[in-house]
Amino acid sequence: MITRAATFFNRIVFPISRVVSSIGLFILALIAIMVVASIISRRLFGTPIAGVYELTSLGLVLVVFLTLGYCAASDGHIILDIVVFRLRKRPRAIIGVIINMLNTAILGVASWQLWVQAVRVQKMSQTSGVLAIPIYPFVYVAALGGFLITVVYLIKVLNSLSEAIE
Amino acid sequence: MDIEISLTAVAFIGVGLFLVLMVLGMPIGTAMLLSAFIGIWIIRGIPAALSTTGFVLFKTTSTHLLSVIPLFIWMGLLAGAGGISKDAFATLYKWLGHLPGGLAIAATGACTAFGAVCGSHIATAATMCSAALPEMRRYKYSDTLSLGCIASGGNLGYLIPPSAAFIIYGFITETSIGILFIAGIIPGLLLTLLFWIQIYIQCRINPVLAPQAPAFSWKEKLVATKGIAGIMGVFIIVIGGIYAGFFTPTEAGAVGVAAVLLLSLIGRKLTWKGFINSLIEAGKVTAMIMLLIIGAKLFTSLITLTEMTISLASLVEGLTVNRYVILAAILAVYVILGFFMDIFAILIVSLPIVFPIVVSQLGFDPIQFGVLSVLTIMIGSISPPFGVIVFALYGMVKNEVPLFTIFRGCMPFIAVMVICLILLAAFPQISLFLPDLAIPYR
Repeated sequence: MITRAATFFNRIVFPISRVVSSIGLFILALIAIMVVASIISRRLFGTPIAGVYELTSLGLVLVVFLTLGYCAASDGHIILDIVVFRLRKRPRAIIGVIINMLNTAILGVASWQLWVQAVRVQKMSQTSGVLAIPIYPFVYVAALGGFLITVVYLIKVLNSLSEAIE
Repeated sequence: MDIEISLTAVAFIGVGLFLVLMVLGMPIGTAMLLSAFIGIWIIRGIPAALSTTGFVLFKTTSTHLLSVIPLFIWMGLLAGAGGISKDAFATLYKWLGHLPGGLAIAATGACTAFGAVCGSHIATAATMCSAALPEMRRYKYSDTLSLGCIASGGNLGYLIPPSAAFIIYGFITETSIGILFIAGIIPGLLLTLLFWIQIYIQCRINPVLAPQAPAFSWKEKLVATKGIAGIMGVFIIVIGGIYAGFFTPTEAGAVGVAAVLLLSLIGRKLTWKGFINSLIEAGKVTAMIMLLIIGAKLFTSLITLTEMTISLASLVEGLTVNRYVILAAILAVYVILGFFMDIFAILIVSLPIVFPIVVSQLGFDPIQFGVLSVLTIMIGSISPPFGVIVFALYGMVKNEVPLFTIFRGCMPFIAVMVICLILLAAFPQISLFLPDLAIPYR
């Protein structure tokens, strides 16, 4: 039952995280193009492109939070694998359940707080310095990216649980 | 919380919890987030812990300086996909291959050259493994020497700019990244030279390690030289551009990507698939590093709240030993950490605590300490029992060579790196000569 639920959710969330990550990577490529264009324009024509600094900073927020989920889904985050991998399957799975629950909890709290932050920023109608771009949409996207990685770890709880029960 | 609890106790709870979670296999980034959150909760209460978390997360990820990390990482992966590293090996192979241990010397040199466009040791080791290992096997080099030199050489990129390790060091300690970059050049080249001498002597004493490979004619050598021209070009554009003031170190990442892309397109070796894969891989590495940085930033808030650095500093002040003894102790801890942790993770976790002591209290130069700590962690990453590069390499050779063989191959290189470390600690000028020359009143 749990195993089937885990496989089911895996099949849905993995592709989603990959698509979301691709959007982040597209933004990364845009940042690269924009920065190079601004250097060329500044050096050759003496006219810098306005707002590249803030666009890069805000773009980085998107790149990071959109790629976090896929990295987690494909087990890309650094762990220290010197003790747990020596254990037998069941104890390892039980530790996995606990650790992944903690991951889910802290990332859930963090994403929720990003959302709270987004609401606050929206109320204060904060904008970037040069181009006056509203900041809040970026914080909302960060929060959503945070929720995605939270869900990824929630599914990992199911995975470990099904291994523990087997 | 109503119960009075000393700040030092909270610091210990925070650090202890982090260590326990990490050993239990929690991702290092989330382990730092969680233990920092709980620590701040104990000191300031839950509302403060919640709002600090939200604030730090957004603040850190919108830091302009950090945008250089995904770009430099992508640049390196792109250079690997575009065959630039293989070209470098091919060139050095023609020039140096006939010397005793010549292929190993060429592979180490190619690692250094590739380090000039790549910031990741695993990526460097992986590309060299596919470029140089087949050649070395063809000429019946011993696997001990071949794999030892690829593992150790893979590290060299961390000293050669642009280096992601220096970017992170600079970000956390607020040291100039431009200066750190230039400071790594001489130590990086010195270590390469020491490696060359060591391989040469090793193969002179024990020729079985490396049967002689054929020499090439001068014409062939000169023709092959264009293979390394690409890397030199990118390096000159990126690093030269920073010092000429054409662009900032932060912008250099984007310039590097553009330069490597252009070069790969001219060389016609980059496929669309290779391009996309390099981007996907860059995204994964970025997410990994950024989660670490986010965790470390929240953890730094906790460390600041607990005034841990102040109490540690007064503790160190009470010690009556030579400052080099304390430095050696800190570096020894780094080597141990390097056994099983990634270089980024170590720098990020330790610097908020260690840096103020070493620099403000013991009076070491922040730039020199940057070079020393990066080199030390490099030693750790190829030492038994947990050297990460060795494990990565072991996976790449499909487990057909015993792990022990690779570690044994690394031993002479580790000895040389320790010698280099001692030289760098004793003579700060080696690290500081170029920075002083470039920026006299820094």
